[in-house]
Amino acid sequence: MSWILSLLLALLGVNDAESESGCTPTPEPGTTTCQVDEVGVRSSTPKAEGRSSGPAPSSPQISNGF
Amino acid sequence: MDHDALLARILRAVDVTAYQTPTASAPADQREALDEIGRDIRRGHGDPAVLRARIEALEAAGRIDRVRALSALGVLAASPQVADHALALRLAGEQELAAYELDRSQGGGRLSADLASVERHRGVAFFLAGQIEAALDHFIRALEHERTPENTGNVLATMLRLGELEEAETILARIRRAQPSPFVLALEHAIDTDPDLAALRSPEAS
Repeated sequence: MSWILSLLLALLGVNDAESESGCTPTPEPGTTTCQVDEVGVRSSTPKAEGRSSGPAPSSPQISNGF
Repeated sequence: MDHDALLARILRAVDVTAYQTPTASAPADQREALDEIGRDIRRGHGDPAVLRARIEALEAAGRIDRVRALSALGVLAASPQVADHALALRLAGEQELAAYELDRSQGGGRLSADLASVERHRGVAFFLAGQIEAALDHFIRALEHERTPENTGNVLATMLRLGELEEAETILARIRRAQPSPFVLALEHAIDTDPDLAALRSPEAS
């Protein structure tokens, strides 16, 4: 689970995701293993390191409330 | 016919009408004036200098305070019509100082919402400048200050822009279960209408 996800779930006042989703960190940095519907397990894909900023979006849909 | 120029005009019109400027987080007694300004900014018509003068006139008339005037000037600076992101960031800094001064002089318990507005404006300026990770940082700060559907939607849209679909879906699922109904309904509306959140729409809705 990424730190962003943990932070956002905490900010939104919802329950800890790892305890409910069944996801647990693996020894490999940046990866987790999650139970999926009691059928099997999947490993999350590690995030690419050093994400670069993308190009300016062509259609600004972000909300800029006063 | 210059098809490239025509396409550019169409895209510009689409971009301008897509620029959202809600007033729900502003003080209730100032929303009417801000709605007028927001409508004009979204239309993208007219001289930005005239709009700036109108904002300053509204402040001089006491219809909006200094914090809201700086917010409106920042929203105008970041709008597709002006697209001066550096100016928008400078105005956000001035708005932040004004928010602290207003809180010290008058109190009122609005500081957190006003600081959320500042961080939202910073996030939008970075987002529109193509600095998406910096935008996410500021949108998260906005959410820390004020837990609203608008701030949540901005975070989700930015995560999608960064390719964090799985995390965004997890957050959305948790919100649907845990947040009060009005919060969820407002967020669902944003997802249904905002193309940046389209990846989070349920299959039956798309």
